[in-house]
Amino acid sequence: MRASIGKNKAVTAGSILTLFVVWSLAAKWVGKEIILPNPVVTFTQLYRLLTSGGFWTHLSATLSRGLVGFALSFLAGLLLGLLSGLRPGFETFFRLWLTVIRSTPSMALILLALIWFESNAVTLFVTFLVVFPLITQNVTEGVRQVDPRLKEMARLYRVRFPTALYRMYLPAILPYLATAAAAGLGLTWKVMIAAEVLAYPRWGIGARMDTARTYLQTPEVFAWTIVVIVVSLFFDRILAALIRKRLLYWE
Amino acid sequence: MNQSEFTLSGITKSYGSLRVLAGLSLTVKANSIVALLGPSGCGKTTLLSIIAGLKSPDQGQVTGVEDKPISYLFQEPRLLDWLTVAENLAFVLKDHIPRSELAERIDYYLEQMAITAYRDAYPRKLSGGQRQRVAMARALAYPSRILLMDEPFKSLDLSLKWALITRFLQLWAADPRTVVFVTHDPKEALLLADEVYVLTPKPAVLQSHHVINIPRLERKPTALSLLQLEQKITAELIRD
Repeated sequence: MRASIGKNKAVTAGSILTLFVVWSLAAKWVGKEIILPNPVVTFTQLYRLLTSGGFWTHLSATLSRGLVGFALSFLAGLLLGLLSGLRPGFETFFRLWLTVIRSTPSMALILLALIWFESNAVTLFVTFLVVFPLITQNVTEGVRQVDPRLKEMARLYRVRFPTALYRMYLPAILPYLATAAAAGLGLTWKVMIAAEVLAYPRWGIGARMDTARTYLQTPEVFAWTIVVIVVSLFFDRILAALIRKRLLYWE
Repeated sequence: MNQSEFTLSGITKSYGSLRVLAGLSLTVKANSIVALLGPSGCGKTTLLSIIAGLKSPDQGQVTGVEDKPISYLFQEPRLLDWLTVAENLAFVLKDHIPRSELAERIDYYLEQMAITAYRDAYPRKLSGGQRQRVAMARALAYPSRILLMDEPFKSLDLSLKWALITRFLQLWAADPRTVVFVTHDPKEALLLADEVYVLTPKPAVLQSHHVINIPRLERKPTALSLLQLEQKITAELIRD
């Protein structure tokens, strides 16, 4: 076991190293920083960003927007998912709406939102419309998978709905909820950045990336990209840890 | 008519073209124990589901169970894996029992079923027999007037089966309810029941009816009077 963990670590290190080597070679081959900056330039730029004045304001603006957007999507998705799972009529009613929303390109959503709202609302609106159907669908599926024999048992013993919801349905759909949260949060950052690039709020990573692109500051685009990747990985890890602790504790 | 007596009249049920119950009628006296004895898959479980109101009969009706609280010991334990043993009991009790009596009632029935040691364990950690006892504790702790049991003592070894039957009868004597249980084991039926109905296989109709007049205290697995009746009923079951 320990040997295999050690081996895995070595493979991971090799993988990272290879990535940097390929990146450096590619940058050397291209030969233009404006097209593809090499890792050293990129990380120097990243360091400059981190120590510059506005960095934390931009970062926290994007983070808070993302988390608020995700939280709204999660709550709405949970609610609609529960309703749809418990009452097939709801599911039939909303299926078409959700399918339409899911089939709409996020760029189309962003463009429409730009026409309708101010820039902060645009980012929230778009994130919500992209993430919320995903959560809804997972929760609906989870509720439907609850063992009918347990539901029958709860019905026979006349367990009231709040008790059944809290003690039976929610724990039963926890694995579905966890999958939905992980996928939804990952998606949140991607969509949020895209929305920020186009909506151009005063504070926000996406807006900074677009500014850098406009001024052909490619290393800065790269540096911000790395920031977003780190943010995404960070929340992914936190979520994974939470899930490990809370989920399947009864196994 | 006593509050928890109930009557089945002309119950018929088919699944597609398979007829499982063909016009079953019987009356279950209040606070008596009735055994439905028949081969596996003869529609006994369906009959219990119909009494419980979980399935509706194609024809016929059940009268006398309307709105009465019912406990049902299903063939499988049907416990919530993510709740402890005590929480599983609380799940069905908390909406029907004053909060102040909840813990005491749970502990009492767990103790009666000899599973107090597993009070805070999750069902996955228990053996099949232990889970079945949790389900039985849940059925008994629930304040029901009617108790339905589907093969309650199956897959238990003989001594544990006898111990649980004894325990069950003590609890029933302390808090009598109308009990209907199904089994394919004549001995189980004879040890527990006031009346035994023998059912024919598909479609199930009543084949014979036995009233057991031997006092429960004299019923031991090896009692001669029981063995004679057991032989007779076994012969009926095998004839088909």
